[in-house]
Amino acid sequence: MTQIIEDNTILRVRPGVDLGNLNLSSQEGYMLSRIDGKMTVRDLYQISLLDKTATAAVLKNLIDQGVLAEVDPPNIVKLPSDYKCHDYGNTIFSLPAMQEDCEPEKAWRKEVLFLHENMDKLSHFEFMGIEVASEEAEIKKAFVRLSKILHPDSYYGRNMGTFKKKLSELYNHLSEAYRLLLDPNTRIEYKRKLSIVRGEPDWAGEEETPEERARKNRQVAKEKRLKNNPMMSRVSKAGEFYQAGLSDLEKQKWISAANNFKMALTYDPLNELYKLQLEKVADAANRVAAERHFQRGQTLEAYGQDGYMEAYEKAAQTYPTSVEFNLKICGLYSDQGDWDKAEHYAARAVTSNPKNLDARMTYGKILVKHKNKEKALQQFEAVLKLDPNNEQAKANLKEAKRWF
Amino acid sequence: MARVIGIDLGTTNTCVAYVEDGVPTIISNKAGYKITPSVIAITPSGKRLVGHAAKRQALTNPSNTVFAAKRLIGRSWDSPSVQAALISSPFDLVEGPNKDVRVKLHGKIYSIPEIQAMILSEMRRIAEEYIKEPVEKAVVTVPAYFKDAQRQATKDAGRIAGLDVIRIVNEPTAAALAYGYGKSMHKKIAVYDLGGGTFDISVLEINEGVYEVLTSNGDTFLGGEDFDSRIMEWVLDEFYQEHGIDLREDKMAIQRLKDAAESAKISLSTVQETEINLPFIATDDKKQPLHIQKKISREDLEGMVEDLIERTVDICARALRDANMKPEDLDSVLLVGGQTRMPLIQARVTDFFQNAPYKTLNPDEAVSLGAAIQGNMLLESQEQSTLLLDLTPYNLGIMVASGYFKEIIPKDSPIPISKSHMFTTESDFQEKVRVVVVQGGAKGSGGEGEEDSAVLGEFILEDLKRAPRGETKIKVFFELDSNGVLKVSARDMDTSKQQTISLSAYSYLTEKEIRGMIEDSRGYTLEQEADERMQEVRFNVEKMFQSISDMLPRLDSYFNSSEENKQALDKIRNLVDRATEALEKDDRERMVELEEYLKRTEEILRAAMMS
Repeated sequence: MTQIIEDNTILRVRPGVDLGNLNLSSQEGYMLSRIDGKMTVRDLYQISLLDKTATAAVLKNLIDQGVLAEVDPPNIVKLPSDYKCHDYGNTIFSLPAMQEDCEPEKAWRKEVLFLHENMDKLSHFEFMGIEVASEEAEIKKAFVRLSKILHPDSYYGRNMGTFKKKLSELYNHLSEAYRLLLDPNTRIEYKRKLSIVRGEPDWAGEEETPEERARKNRQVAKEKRLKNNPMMSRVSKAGEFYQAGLSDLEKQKWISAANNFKMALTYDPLNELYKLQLEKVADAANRVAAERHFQRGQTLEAYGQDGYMEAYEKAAQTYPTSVEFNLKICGLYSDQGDWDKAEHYAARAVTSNPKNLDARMTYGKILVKHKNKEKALQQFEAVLKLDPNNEQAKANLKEAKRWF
Repeated sequence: MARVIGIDLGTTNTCVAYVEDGVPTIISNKAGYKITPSVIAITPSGKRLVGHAAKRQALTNPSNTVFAAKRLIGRSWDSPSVQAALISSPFDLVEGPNKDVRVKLHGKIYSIPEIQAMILSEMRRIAEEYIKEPVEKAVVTVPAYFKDAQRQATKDAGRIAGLDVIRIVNEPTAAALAYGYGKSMHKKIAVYDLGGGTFDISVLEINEGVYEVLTSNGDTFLGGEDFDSRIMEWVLDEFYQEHGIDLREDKMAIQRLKDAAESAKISLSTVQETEINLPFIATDDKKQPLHIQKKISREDLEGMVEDLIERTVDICARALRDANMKPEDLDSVLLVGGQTRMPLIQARVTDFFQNAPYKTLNPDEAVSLGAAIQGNMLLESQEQSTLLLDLTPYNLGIMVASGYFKEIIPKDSPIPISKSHMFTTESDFQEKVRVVVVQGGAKGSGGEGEEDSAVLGEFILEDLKRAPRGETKIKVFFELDSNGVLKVSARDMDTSKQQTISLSAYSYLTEKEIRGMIEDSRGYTLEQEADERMQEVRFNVEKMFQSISDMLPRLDSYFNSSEENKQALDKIRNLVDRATEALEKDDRERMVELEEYLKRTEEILRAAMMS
């Protein structure tokens, strides 16, 4: 009997033992009298008058005689009885963790230590203890099984020592793995990656994710439809351009949208919807394009480079209903003395916005220069009608009358 | 053993349960009620009333009676719900020091957690009376859509009431637990929870004791009280049209109407027509009394609230869509909350889920039963047989440079969960970084004008290494526990300097304040106990005084006129006189002294007369 009793062992008198009929030594009798209900060996050392070795020997004797019995610690964290442990191989478990003073039993500690140690090395399938081919039902089952060990609620209020932190990391890992495997899309992608890493080409196989399958099915169905009906092919192309145009609209890319609607109309010229959308967007697209030309003109002009005339002219042509663009190019032409062109743009500016005084004044002045008396007088009179107190217009009118 | 109780702290009613020898049981109060109104009041004499007692006197004391405090808990003063309550609530709301909401009752200011604590300690008292053991721990339920601050504030309320809230559980999850407890099943169920103030829909999968929440959705501004106010509005409008008097200004009238509307609504769940009868509600110009006497039929009510019910159905549809499910995938539907007794709701739910709701569970009681089960499971069960796996209904992240939100824990993540994200500095030689923790708006948390995202807290990580921008690495670590309460820390990866934020600072009550409130509440508990003891003494004294006084005239015939007996009789007479005086003056100390004497005297006399 060389085995020593562990300090944590809890002892009690074996139920049903008839204390009166035992043949005990005085030391044994004394020890027995000290035991009150359930007591740990550590506590017995404290209250015993014998020294530690003697106490241990007496207790050991009493256990061997069947007078005392070991009691399972009341609070012990155990693995569920039907739990299947991982294959640990020849893992060596850290001694401090195995001997730490906390509630889990040895088998439990081994399982948790193994999982924690190998969390990153094990595949999600290995971690959860399931086959690579497992489907939803098995994955769920495995998750439930592991949750009962790893979820923090399973050991609420228990003394788990340093295992507590490990468990929270493990549970986090478990719930991530579970989420990933539960969704067939991410599961198959994970399998593909895993098969490359592990060099096991068969794992992922030909399996397609539901998303891929759906996409493929849609494609096949569409091709089939188009093959049966050549007219539909054109219509469907038009539809594609139309959809692209709509998404451009959302992003406020007016020019691209207009181009797409135009393309849609070339494939399906009679479609009223496309025409309507094009009309709606054309104005905005032209304005944007014109603004770009105009800005380019401004930049070129500012840097004293050639080509700004052309840029301004293009702006006015692309978006003919802008007073600003028309007046700008008109001014440039009148500077050059090209009265025909200046008159053309000034006239357009006035038509774009008949109430714009600047446009009318400019037009009037150009007409004066261009010797068109009647029209010039009309313009100045129109200005005065809009703004009776416009001194400049009065002066111009007077001068024009004097000129002719 | 320390007992743990489950409390369903509702907007209108509160219910307490506990697991007795493995059987979850609702605890009724002394008067036999299983549910207690979530109402507290302070009487003019400064006495605290909770539950039925508070509700009964609400009419005569409307400005010192607090209803539906749950709608205000953990909310900031500026939030739309508080601003709305300001207009409609009969009691005075004031702004607290931390931008929170407080209530002013008889000149004293109370925080909302204190108000809730009064209800919780009443529940605790009811439970202790029943279990006959002290109760220190509790599981309290909250709507799934409660945000961090609201959960924290609920925990604070528990602490003030002297309860260790070991877990905050979502109401629909708790109801599911009550449904599945003790049964072996594999089912998918929906929990439709229309309480007094909030609506929640959750879809759960129950699989051998594991309750996994698949999705949840809801509206924090939709509940039974909205149904009541539709009836009130209707009556008020009709009254205005008839008499030209707007009763909205009259707190007392509103209070009476509120009660009447609620009871009309409740009775319309069982009868086709009822009457709202409020005599002498106001007086007209000629000082003639005016009455409200209106018939209301079930159809009338259904017409008034149809849109509210449709809103709940829309949310159900959204929840199912989020979980990628169809109504026919579900095995069962649970109805929780008293409002679900309304026949139209039951019909719409049946219609939508194509499945008649499960009716065995009482909609008022299921949640507290579930809470008790969860508490029992955590503390007392040895087997890891049942587990709750809940989700976070909102996303959590941090606000980084230029106000852009970086999500760290997405919506519908299982809790508990911890996640981290690496950030870097945005300018050269930056020495500190500000981390602002933000709770994003829950998808479809709905509600008119409810703040979409809330800043939970912020902290500054200082003394970073001087480095060009982008070189310093900062790791932000989020930890969301099983209560749905968040802890955030940030660590500078170079210097390993770490800082943890305690988000409880943002639950609108400081630690010091809570301590003070705990003290107050403890003092109050003792005082209340003394009060009850006194009533008992007084009762005993009165009873024995009466019995002795009855016997006195007959005593002479029983005793011979010896000197001894005369003295004894004098003593008794003297005792009776003293008792009369003590009772008249309500002298507590004297009564306690006399109680024992009277008892002994009464016994002696009784014995003497028997012989």
